[in-house]
Amino acid sequence: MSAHQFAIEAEDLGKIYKRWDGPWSRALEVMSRGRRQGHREVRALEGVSFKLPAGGALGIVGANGAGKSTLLKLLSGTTAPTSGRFRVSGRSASLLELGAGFHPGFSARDNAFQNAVLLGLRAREARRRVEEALEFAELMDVADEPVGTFSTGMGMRLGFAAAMSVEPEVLILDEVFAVGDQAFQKKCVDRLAAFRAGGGSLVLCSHALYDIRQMCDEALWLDNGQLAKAGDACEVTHAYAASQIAEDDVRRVAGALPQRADWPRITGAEVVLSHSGLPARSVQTGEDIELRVTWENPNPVDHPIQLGVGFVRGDQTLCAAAATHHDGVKLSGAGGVCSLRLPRLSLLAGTFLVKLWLFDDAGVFRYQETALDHDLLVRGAEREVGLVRLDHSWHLEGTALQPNPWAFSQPKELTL
Amino acid sequence: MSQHVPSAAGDWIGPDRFSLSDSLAELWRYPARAWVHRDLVCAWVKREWSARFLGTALGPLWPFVQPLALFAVYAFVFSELFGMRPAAPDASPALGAVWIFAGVLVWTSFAECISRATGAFFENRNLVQKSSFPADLLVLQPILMSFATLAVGAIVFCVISWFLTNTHPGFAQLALLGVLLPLHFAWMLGLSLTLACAQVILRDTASLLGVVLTVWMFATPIFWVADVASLPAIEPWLSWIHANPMHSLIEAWRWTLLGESAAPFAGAALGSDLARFAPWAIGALFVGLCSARAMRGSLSDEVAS
Repeated sequence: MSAHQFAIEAEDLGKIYKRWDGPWSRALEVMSRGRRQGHREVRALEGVSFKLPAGGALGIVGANGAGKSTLLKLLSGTTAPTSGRFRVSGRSASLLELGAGFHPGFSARDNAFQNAVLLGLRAREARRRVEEALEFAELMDVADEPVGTFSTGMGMRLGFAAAMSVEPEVLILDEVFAVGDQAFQKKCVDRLAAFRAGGGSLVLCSHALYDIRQMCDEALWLDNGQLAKAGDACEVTHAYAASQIAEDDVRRVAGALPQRADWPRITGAEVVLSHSGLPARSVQTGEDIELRVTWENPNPVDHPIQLGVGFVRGDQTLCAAAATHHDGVKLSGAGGVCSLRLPRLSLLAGTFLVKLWLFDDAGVFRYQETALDHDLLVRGAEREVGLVRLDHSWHLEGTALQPNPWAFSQPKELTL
Repeated sequence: MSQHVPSAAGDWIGPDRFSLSDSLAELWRYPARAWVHRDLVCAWVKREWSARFLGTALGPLWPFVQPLALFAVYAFVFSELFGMRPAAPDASPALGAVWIFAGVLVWTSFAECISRATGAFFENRNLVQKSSFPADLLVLQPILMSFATLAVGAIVFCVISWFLTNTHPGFAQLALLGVLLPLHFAWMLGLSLTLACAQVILRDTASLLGVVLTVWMFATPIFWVADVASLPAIEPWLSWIHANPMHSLIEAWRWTLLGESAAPFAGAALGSDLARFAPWAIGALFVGLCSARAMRGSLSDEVAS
């Protein structure tokens, strides 16, 4: 393994892509020796510095377009930085895409060999490693079949095995570290764990924050090409996750307007308790509630609308939804209040984001997508677990049991 | 870990800046890189060779079929229909066909190489974007392929010309292969790198090249003799014709493949052909290496857009 203290050192790395409007503007710039600027600059990465200790694992998180892939491309050497510098100590291999360069007409063995030689193995060594890779990918009996006849999963298994066969000291992975079915994914993860146990350094970019936390010691959070936060993997991923939720808040009813002035819009929304008519931020499972949505439609003739409501849990699961076009209701006129009545709320305890959509008549185009200003807190009274309460009863050998005293029909008798 | 090719691991890598001295250094760095990655280049050539015959019944016989068919067609059209004869009265009539054949072999391998090499970066953009390897070696695949087909063609040629005209390569000229082959290679490599880079920036290059190659083929004395005695109309163009590097290259190969038998057609001697061709080859090589060096840092960005 490398004698260096750091596997990767990056100092003030930056990358600016040049975009030309067309070949002519580019030719003009070359002809005029740069006096006529024909290109726009796209700043993909700016001032990124970090050090990855040898044997460490670094996760990279960030939204799409934040510069994650650009950073990986720089580190893997497929493109050069436009500012700053970096150093990779030890032999590195990058896996930016599985099976890049596989030829569908050639056998798995041929393709794996080609891949190993491309990644820098000598032919003799490559031939030996290819057999190991085929073994690992469980493709020994189809090794001489053309890759074009493989299923997607088989192709990915081959791609992963072929890339891992190079046995690098620094491994750079873009979203691809576990492929195939569950059993094979486990194999991939074990392989990576063995790689790290053997002193290998890892750079991993993923949207799956859980994986970053599991596999990496440190993490970088890239935002708009800049380093938003760096440090302990757990801290960084939690900060990143929190920012994603905070970003969600911005688009809520209070501040959200549709894109055009003559488009329909939601001007207010609240949850009220049916029995008192009072607004509420927290309700109880089994209660009768109403969701009152105030809407305006400046041009109801050209923009007939439909309203959709969804209850979204913290992990982005849409737990339940209702929409006027599903139920044959129309929102006609220039405005009004539309109430969605939910008798005996069957959502169980949890915090729900109440999403609101204004659709076109067909329920396809979204004029507006927003959410209730405050999350809906549902307090559970039952000891039941799950997401929703199914209407249910138990029967033993054909004998109906006594009704459950905690049943939904008497929610008001409950005390907390 | 000696089983791995050495890499630049451990060096600081910063912005890629183009400099002339760097490009000059490519004159030995490029061959050095090719040597280090020889297994990769070999694998590319082998793969391309088998890809070309993948799913064919005749397989490796095809390289022989192609020049044979070419010869049959050209012998019929030019020797029989057009009645092209060598100017020298004692030369055999078949010599004209063999002479054309030699030119066609060299031109075909050149044209095929250049058209394939033009796409070397762009057609492999998936690989260039996603893998880290010396991408400028990609053009070696079409070049080596074309030399392989040229070699097969030359063998077929020697057998045919020996049977038909009792000619054989001149031994003195064969000795000059040591000069001709490197120059030929330099010419192809320079042109291939230049065109491959041009295609990445301007996708019209490949289409334009198709037109240029057609015009170029007819402007080069392949099917006709650059000899005022047999074609008086070409007199005002003679200096242009002699400036054409492909003319010099093809003449040099004809001298090599036919020996002194080529004398009735060829105006000059092999040495002067090589002397005219050398500046072209070296110039092309330099331009090609400069282009590839200038493009290296941004190649994967350019192929994407």
